[in-house]
Amino acid sequence: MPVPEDLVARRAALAARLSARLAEPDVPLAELRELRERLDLLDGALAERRPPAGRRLAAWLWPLLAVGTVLLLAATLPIGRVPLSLTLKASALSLALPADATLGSWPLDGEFRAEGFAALESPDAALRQAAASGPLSQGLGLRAGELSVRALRLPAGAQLRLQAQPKALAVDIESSRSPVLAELELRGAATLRLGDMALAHDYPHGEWLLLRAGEAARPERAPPPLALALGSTAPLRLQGLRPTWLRFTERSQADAGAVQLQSSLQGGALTLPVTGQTLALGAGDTLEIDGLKVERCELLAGASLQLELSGSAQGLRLRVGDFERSLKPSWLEYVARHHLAQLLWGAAGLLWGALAWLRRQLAGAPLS
Amino acid sequence: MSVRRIVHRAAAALGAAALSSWAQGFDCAPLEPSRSRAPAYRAVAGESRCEGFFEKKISQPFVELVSLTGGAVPAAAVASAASAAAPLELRAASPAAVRLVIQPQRSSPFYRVDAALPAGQALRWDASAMLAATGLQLADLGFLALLDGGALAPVLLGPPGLQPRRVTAVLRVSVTVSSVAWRSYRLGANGAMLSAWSELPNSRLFAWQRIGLPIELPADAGGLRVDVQAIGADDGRALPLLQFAIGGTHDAGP
Repeated sequence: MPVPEDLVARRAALAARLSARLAEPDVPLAELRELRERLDLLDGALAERRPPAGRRLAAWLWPLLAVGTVLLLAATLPIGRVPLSLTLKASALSLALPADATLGSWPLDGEFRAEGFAALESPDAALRQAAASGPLSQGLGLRAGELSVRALRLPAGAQLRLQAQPKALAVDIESSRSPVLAELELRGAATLRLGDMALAHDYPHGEWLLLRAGEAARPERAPPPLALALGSTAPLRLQGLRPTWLRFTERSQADAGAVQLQSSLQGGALTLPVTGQTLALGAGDTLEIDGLKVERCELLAGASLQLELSGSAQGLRLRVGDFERSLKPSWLEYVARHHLAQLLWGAAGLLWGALAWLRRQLAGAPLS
Repeated sequence: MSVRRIVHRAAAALGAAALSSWAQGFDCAPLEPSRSRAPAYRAVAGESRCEGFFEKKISQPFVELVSLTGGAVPAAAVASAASAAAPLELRAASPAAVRLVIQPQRSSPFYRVDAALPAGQALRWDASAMLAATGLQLADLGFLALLDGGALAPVLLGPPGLQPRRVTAVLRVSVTVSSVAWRSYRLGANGAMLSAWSELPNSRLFAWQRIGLPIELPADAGGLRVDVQAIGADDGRALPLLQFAIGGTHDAGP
């Protein structure tokens, strides 16, 4: 029940009058007694209307609880998307490409090997006949004076596994759609290996060939897993990658022939501009990045894979040993860093409100 | 000018831009409009056309096709384009609709026109705006007609009714090359080689120099594919092959 303002005012006026009359010398005792009694009656009425002590405590506590809950939520809930910049070295890398992608071109000074492709196209009849005579899908090897992968065309949703090898980059492709195309150009003395057969031919003016897995007419049929090895002593640059997720794992042979996955990270640094944090990534740490939106992604594949990435991610987890944690900052950390002035003004406003509310509560308390 | 008037004008301009690109159903090329030169590449209000300067970054050595035409620009048009505005009549040697691209044959400036050219129709295009903005002459312009699927149709510059058997491709190299060679063929079931590799005469070119490649179209009016190879003068290595297809004049396929 609320305490009426007029009762409080009347009590204050009565108390003031009593003390004034007490100060005067010739005031009749009856008048002073009457004033005292009226004051007691008013106190009684006010005390009846005031909430009991327990409810008063609850009323005091709820703003504190509300502020505490907001702070707890802000400190616990992570922000939806975290901007990041990442530089790292790894021996292997897996990624998913959500949209159609064309990668390349890569000049190769070593052998190009491909497994899983079903068809070979070229204006050169010798290359076409050689491909038709052997089991192309079981593997093709190609060397030439000048050899380059002009383009690797991947349908949307393809997953790539890149593994740095001595003087080569291994690329495994899994795609749920067709076709996957590899376009090659060669010039000079060339050797094509197909199973046991080898075809040597000189191409003074150059030639191109196209390897195809899956049919363009039936894009919903998945081609078999494809394996490429790009032989090069110079590092190969992969630009324009737009992955949605990244994993840094490689397969290793465990006891009894079982294959297990282990971290392929060799080291790096992850910077989160939201918190201004830079985390050192150690060799063997496990980093998982999901929901990526890439602004820049460059990969240099030499003796190891060097990745430079900037963008934002929805999921960012790091596992060091058995300790796994999300690296996404909380809303409180975000607000504290980027909206400090607003946070301080907000806190000051809240404090002022709480104090005003407390003062009003205290103003209604009895004087005696 | 009052704020209300500015807002009103901006809304009208936005509406016009949206209307011009939407109503005509024509998309501009995915280019980055120029930030420093005007007019920047954008849709032209009320027309199926985009035009202007754009930004370009060049990375690796390449040989590219900048023009594929049949016939020659009539002398009268050259004279009138130099003096006043007289629209050029551009047609494509194809029964299908094409996307016309007009760009300088020279390496700069980065100015480009994209326009829709409906099947069997001619586009009357006024070159004076492009020539005035770029300071180029009509002979410096390259014309390409892109078919759906990536093949090209020759752009016909001569009088109506002309169906030339020989077309000219203009090639441009980004680095100094020691030679340029080419061949033409058909792919597919009747994959016949139309011409073996042959070196173009006087094809030692400086960076950004152009060279004309005369191509005989097949007598049966079918399409063909062309490969062009240039050998870098510095390292003797081949530049990436330039491959393009010319659609047949009786169908849209190469």
